[in-house]
Amino acid sequence: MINPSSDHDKLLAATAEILRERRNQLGLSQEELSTRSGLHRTYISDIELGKRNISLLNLVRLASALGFSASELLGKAQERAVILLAKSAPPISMAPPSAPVESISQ
Amino acid sequence: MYYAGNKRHAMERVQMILVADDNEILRELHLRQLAQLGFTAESAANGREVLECVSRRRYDLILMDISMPELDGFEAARLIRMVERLTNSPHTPVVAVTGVSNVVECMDEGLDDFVAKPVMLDQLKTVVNRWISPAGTTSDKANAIMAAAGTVIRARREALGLSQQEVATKAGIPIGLVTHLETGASDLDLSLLGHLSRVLEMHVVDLVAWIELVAREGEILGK
Repeated sequence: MINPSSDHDKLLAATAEILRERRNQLGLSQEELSTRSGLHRTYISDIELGKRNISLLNLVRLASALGFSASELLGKAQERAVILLAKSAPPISMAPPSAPVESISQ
Repeated sequence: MYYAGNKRHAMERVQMILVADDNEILRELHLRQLAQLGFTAESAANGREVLECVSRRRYDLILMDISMPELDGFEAARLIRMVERLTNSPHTPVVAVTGVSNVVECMDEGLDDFVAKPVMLDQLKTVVNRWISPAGTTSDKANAIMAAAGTVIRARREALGLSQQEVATKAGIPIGLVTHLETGASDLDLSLLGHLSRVLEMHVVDLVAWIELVAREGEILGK
């Protein structure tokens, strides 16, 4: 069973990564992204650090400033979140299941 | 106090701004600045007066000092949001007038934007135009996105045969918020999108893609 809050945290963290990577890819500073998106630099910094939940409107604004649609950005974040979830999952034990212990009564 | 800007065409609906500041000199300054920018504005001296004003009429934007006696800007903004939810009223952008150190707190407390003290005319123009500007700019796009979100959520809920109450219960949110969202009166965050997408049996990426598609259709049809 997937934990929804953990799922959400990973999506938020992945969104932050994608936003930061795309901004760097375009050679934009946070200040320049702030001017393009109309959002405050401090807010953008917090989003990129995964410290803040992002609203749909601000997601649309940021995505648009970075040449994405919001769903494209979320799609990329979703792919990244799956990787983050896989990395954080406990390792699967390769040991064979232990054989049932049979009591030997003599 | 009432100031009317004169730059707008007489046939356009007058956009009304409420200025709230306990300092009479600053209140007067902001009113004059807004008039210079062509906006019509009224004023309030504290949070309590702000609530009285918003109960009488709808404002297109509220420019509010955070530090005010009786009821401060944070408390007033919280109450405005609560009344909007209860009455299914459209979202009124609230812009905080505050120091740079309070920006994050302002965003967390339901304020939409901020302008740093001392408020310079250019900065005020940038911030106000971000929210209420001529047709076809950000404020219209924001409204289109919120309206589209409401349309998609309602359509999907009805397609699944769910009541608003059922969606609210399954998503763990108040029914008032579901109603509010469906009227296109509220923005929703990534966390809420996640909860709703589970209840509406859609992938969150598909939900957002539908919202964008409907918003674009709305913009095209609206032209």
